[in-house]
Amino acid sequence: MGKDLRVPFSARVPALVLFLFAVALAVEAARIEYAFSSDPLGPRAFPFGLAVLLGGLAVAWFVWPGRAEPWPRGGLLLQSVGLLALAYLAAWLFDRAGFLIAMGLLCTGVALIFRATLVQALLSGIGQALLWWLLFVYGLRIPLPVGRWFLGS
Amino acid sequence: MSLDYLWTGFAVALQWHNLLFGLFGCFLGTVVGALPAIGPINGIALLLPLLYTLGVPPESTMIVLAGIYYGAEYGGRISSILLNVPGDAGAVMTALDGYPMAREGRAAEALALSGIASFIGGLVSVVALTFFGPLFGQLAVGFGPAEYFVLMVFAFATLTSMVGDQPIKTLIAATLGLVLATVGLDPTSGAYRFTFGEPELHDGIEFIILVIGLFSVSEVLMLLERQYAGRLTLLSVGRGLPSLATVRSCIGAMLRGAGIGFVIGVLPGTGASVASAVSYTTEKRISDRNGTFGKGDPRGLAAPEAANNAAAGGAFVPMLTLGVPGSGTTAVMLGALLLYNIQPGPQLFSERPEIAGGLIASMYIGNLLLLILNLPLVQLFVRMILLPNWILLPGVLALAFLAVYSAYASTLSIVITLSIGVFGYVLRKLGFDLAPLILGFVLGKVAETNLRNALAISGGELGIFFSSPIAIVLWLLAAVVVVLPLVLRRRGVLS
Repeated sequence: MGKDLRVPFSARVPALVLFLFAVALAVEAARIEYAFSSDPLGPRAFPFGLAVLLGGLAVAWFVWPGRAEPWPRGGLLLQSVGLLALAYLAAWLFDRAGFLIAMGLLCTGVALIFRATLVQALLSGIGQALLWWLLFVYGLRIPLPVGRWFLGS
Repeated sequence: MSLDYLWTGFAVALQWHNLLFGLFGCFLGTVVGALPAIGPINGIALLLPLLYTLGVPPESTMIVLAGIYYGAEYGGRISSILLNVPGDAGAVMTALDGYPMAREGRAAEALALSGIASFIGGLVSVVALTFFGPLFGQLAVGFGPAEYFVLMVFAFATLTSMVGDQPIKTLIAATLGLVLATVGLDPTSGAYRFTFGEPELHDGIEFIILVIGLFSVSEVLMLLERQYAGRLTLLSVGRGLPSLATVRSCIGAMLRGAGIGFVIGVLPGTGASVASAVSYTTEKRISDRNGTFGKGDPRGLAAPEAANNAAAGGAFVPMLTLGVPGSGTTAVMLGALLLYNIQPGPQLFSERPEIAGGLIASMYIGNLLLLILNLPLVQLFVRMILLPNWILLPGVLALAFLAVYSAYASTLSIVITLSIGVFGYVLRKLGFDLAPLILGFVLGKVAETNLRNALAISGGELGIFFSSPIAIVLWLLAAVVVVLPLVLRRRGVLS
């Protein structure tokens, strides 16, 4: 496993990030506060040991980066970011606007990203929001948020 | 112990109303098991007050509840195999080979095979419960923190089978899993670790959040890439039942999985996730000579699925013989017995044979009912993946949201799930296998807690880890798991 000099430096950047993460983890582990511990190890030793191990492995990964897939670019990158933005937006709306609106929006948007026509996307969004609502609220008796905005609080 | 209680139990369980109760429990269990994170506890919690209020006798109540428990173990595999969304903790390993089988157009075969493996696992465990229940109950009592820790060492030793052609990345993934397991309140000292003042993290990162994020959310992003490259086409689902040759090739994996699952299931606090993880890695160690595990190998599906169901049966051993629940669901069932003023323990078999026997007999019948119920339903379940992507993939995300919200009633949990999904996607793009991360997470918490408890008992003396016959046997097994394949490979027996 000799060091492969043909690998571009960008392929080693994640290993560098992992190393920095391991250092931060070690610092944070060393700073864990506790009044007492009934065992000789205490709460710091295990995570600190893991941080040291992770740091060592990050160095090994830096030297031997191995295979990786290409990152998305252009239109795919836009679609991936759009999908994630939609998902985070739905999570934010979940208890504010309620399940039906958040899920309707999420399912409609994701359907459009997966090449549905507008009618198909609306069918998927509205249909799934209603279907899941009925199943969980009435079938399984699991309450879902109706939306703080509509409850006036 | 005489088996008279069992004949009494069969007489109870075969009454037509109890057969109907059993069938209803199995069906409801399959449905709640198929919905991620809902799980058998919710099904039981939903029905128990109703059954009690309606005055249903305790033996019938236990038959319904056992049916839900078993049915959920069957149902958990459905979304795992078809959508890469594990229905419960025990079904995570099922996804590793089940989902690739479905993507290869063998969804029906994978579902049917997992049903057969579940049946074998369930059957082996209930036979073991019948004949060796009290014996295994004593084994569970012999497990102290030191033995649990060595058991985890053994489990980590089986993890070496996951090391593929990028060993550094496998080790990093496992270590990341261990790190994630340390987040939250440290039960021994009361210290908060890596919570950054966030109350939602005080209980640590929940397993279901981790799994749904890593598997489901990241999978939707990967499928988007496939669509962009023009490689996301409608799947075929295959012809249905697996061939006799396939089933025969999986029998060894099923029996080994069932044995491992039962023994681990007997031990309180370990559960189906550890059982299926150890079973998968052990099977990979034994059978994966051509590197097909993780790419749709039926044995990689059969072993953890059998272990998963066998662990469910094993969890009844401490509950029935010692009055100690072996899992969260059996804890609720223990509560159900107490609700009816029935005290579990060894005397249950002699004093209330209709309860203990009825429950065990219903497991034999329930397993058969589930197999009969599930095999014809395979063709119905697989239609799920024939849906167009614009219905299916929004549905996967909706299910992920619902699973997390219904389990934790918190939108921050959904945000954490999405963020873990992005993390999982980045790891996959960097060439990491996610399975070692999950294994590290599952085993890490149990390993650290027991390591520290054992050292607290011994005053820091390491000799405690070698002080009992159980611990020594487990050390030897761990050594065999690591060394034997190396020896066999050197002799050319393994490739």
